[in-house]
Amino acid sequence: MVTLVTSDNEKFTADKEVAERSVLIKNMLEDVGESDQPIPLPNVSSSVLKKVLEYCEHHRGEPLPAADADTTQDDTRKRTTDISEWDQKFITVDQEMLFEIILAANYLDIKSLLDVGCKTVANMIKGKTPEEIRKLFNIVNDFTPEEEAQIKKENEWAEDR
Amino acid sequence: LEECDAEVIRLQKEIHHLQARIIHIQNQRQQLEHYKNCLQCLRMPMRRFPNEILLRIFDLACDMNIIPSKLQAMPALAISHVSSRWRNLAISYPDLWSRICIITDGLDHYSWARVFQLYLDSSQQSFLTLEYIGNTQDLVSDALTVHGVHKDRFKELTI
Repeated sequence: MVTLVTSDNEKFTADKEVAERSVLIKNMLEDVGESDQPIPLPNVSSSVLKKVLEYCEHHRGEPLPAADADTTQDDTRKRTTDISEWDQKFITVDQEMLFEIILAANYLDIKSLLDVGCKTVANMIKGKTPEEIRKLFNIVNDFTPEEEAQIKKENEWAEDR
Repeated sequence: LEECDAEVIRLQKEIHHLQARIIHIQNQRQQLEHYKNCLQCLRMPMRRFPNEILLRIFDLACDMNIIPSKLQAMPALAISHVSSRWRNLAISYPDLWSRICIITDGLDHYSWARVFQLYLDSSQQSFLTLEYIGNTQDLVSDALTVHGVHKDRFKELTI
């Protein structure tokens, strides 16, 4: 068993096999060797780690993607935004949690979870206007007057049919 | 009567004063709401996404850009119109602009030429996935010549 300590100082225990789905934790465990010492995760809160461990538990035993998977995968496969049913249900969370899961997956180096998160956000972007995207993600329109002028021109081209 | 007139004038002034005060307070409220909105945006975890994550998301979102179409069907262009950071990232990543579907049915070349050129310019030297839907092969061939699309940039061409 492995003990993990979150940013809000909560302790979680998990099977080594489950925890090691995170490349970061796997490397840390290899570095410290056989030890009962808890592993600090200062960038992950307890609510997020709970979700991350739920994901790792469900996918335990599955082969881990190769480190260079992004470059070796077929382009079309790489870009598909299909998500399995369980993953889809798992990632149906509020937006803040979704983004925190993505950040945690990136920090903990869990490629498959990062992929599920990115695909979810990509699907949210697809088919939306810039204004709808801004509203959805609370993004401020901070274009300079020069950028605004260029965008206006591009919009005219897009509408010029 | 004079006293009444004076009182009416005084009350009218009071009304104007209060109306001006209301407008002033409304403006203050509007500014505060805008500021609150900005603070909320700053707190959004999406702001903490490193560029690599945002680009991965953009790449997944831009599986195909349909020209000519509404902005919603041209994700690379839509993404580049969201904010300064998103625009700079989208422009810095030519692959986003390299997957293009052109629907030529019933349209003359000039109706989609400028957007197509924008996509070709932005895709720089990336390999292109081009799909043409329509019955105007000559038009397509002309367009490719006009736009200087070299065959060595084609990864996939469907007509």
